[in-house]
Amino acid sequence: MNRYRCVSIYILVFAMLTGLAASEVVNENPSPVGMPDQLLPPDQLLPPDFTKLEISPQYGNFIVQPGNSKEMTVTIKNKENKTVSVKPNTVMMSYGQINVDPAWISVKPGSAKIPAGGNQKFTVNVSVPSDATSGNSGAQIAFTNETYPMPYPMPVPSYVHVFQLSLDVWTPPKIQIAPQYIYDSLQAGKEYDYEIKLKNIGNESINIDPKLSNDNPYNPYGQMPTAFTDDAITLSAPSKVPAGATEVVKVHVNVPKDSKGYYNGVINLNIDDPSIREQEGNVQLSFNVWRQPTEAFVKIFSMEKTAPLTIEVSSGYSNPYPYGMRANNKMPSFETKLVGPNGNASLKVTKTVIKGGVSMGSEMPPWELDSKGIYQESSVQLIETYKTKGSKGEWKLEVLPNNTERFDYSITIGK
Amino acid sequence: MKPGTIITIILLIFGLGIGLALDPEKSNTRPEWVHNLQWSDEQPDNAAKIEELLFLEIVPYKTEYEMVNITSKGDVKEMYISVIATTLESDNPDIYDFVYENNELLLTGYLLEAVPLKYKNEAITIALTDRDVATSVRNSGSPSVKRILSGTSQKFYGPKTLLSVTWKGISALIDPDERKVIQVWKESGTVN
Repeated sequence: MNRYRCVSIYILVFAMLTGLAASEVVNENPSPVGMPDQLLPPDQLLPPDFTKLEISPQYGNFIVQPGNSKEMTVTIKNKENKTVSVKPNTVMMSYGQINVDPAWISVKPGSAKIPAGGNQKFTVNVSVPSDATSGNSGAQIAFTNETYPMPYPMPVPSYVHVFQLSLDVWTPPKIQIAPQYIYDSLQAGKEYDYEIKLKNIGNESINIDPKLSNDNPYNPYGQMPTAFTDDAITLSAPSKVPAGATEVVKVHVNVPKDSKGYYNGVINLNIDDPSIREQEGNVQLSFNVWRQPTEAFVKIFSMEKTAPLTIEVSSGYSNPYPYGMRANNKMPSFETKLVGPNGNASLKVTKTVIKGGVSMGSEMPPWELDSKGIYQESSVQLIETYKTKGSKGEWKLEVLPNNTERFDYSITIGK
Repeated sequence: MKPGTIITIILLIFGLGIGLALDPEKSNTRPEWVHNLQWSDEQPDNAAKIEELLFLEIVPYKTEYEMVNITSKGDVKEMYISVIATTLESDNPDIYDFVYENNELLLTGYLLEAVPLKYKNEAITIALTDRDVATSVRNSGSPSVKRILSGTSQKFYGPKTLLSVTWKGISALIDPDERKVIQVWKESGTVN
């Protein structure tokens, strides 16, 4: 091996060892930027040169009406072995629908010295002036001026010790809408009418202009074709709701005879009230269109010999208690016919089962616990059993279901 | 006034009181808001007394009861009373469970859904003014609306009738008079 070759090998080995060592250093000292900080405790998250402070909670949502205020307490725990000085500083975020004056946000005390292992509570107060406009915005309360190093310029420094604050300024609407949803099970070829009541609780007349909205956020079926188009729905309404009055928006649905499936839509009431936010002035429509069959379902089967014949027909589950605007709710029923080799068979109902699903209260809100143990029926099913004497030959079972969107059947030959 | 006159007046008042207390018609008076009443199975001997106490405990919400059906189980010492009251304005009944013991009626449970559609829709509208509720219940269908009696309400707000508007997994307790949401519950157990 010549001298140059030997030197080259030494350089190569040295370079490889250096690379390995460097990669281990990187793994031992991860950058805090972009780390899943909710998975790691603060003392493991931060590099040793950042002050170890634990802030709880780290986020706060302030929903405040103009002219009102809201407070929240934030606790800072000093995880260092020495006293740490903190001074809250309100930093406005660059996003937001509204301009928030930093003066709306105050933090007390204005500064503190937290002894090693000690806690300090801060009260964050958000006071919204009465002339503020509705909307969202955000701010940070930075308790120290320590920032994460960023590889590129940021509009707001990325502070290490922060309490994130989101502010939602809202105004109570001057108009009440009832109902804000209409859902029903509709039959193709029939017509339905619904009413939406608008009550003006303000002191001035409010203009309205209800329209079916093309921008429908509620369609869970994406681009699937709907049961019918918007022109099947007619809206009629006055142009305004006088102060203190209640007006009615009439919704007429003329379900096309050939429609089936689902229709999900939105009526945008176009209420001229700035306190009504996007979607708050909407009424959701959700219709399930089905066609009541006029022809019976037919099942042909054969029998090899004379034997007792048992037919069982069961409906799908239905909700026994219609809520809201659901009006088309009736118990299911069947028109059943059996034709044998010798003509119509005598088919009588020998057993009727009404089967239900009943809850006695599992997960329920604490204010409904007094109803625990009381039966609440959530679904009903009808099962009918027919018996006749069967004989050799071809048989035809006909079932015409009413008020159910599905049914099951069973044919039992023999005992 | 002579002592004899005073004694006579006291005796008269005492006698009138006994007379009223023993008047069977008076003790069996049904409130105007109960149109029909029936006992399932056999009436207990003290049915009149139970009815009298019942009508102090049950009351419809902004409507009248078309039918009040009473079922009793147990003996005179401890009787379980179940009341199902229906109205013309709601598909759902009001259900009350009581225990009758020592001539006293104790409400042990209730499920009051006989809320007229108008007030039910108002309650849902109020619940939807809470933005958390409004965003959580999109496409969740219709909620149940249940009346919460003052005994329960005082644990959460104050001793007054409230309404609970509940979708699957989320519920809003509302004050229909003040038209405001008092508390919101989610199935995860959080109450805001």
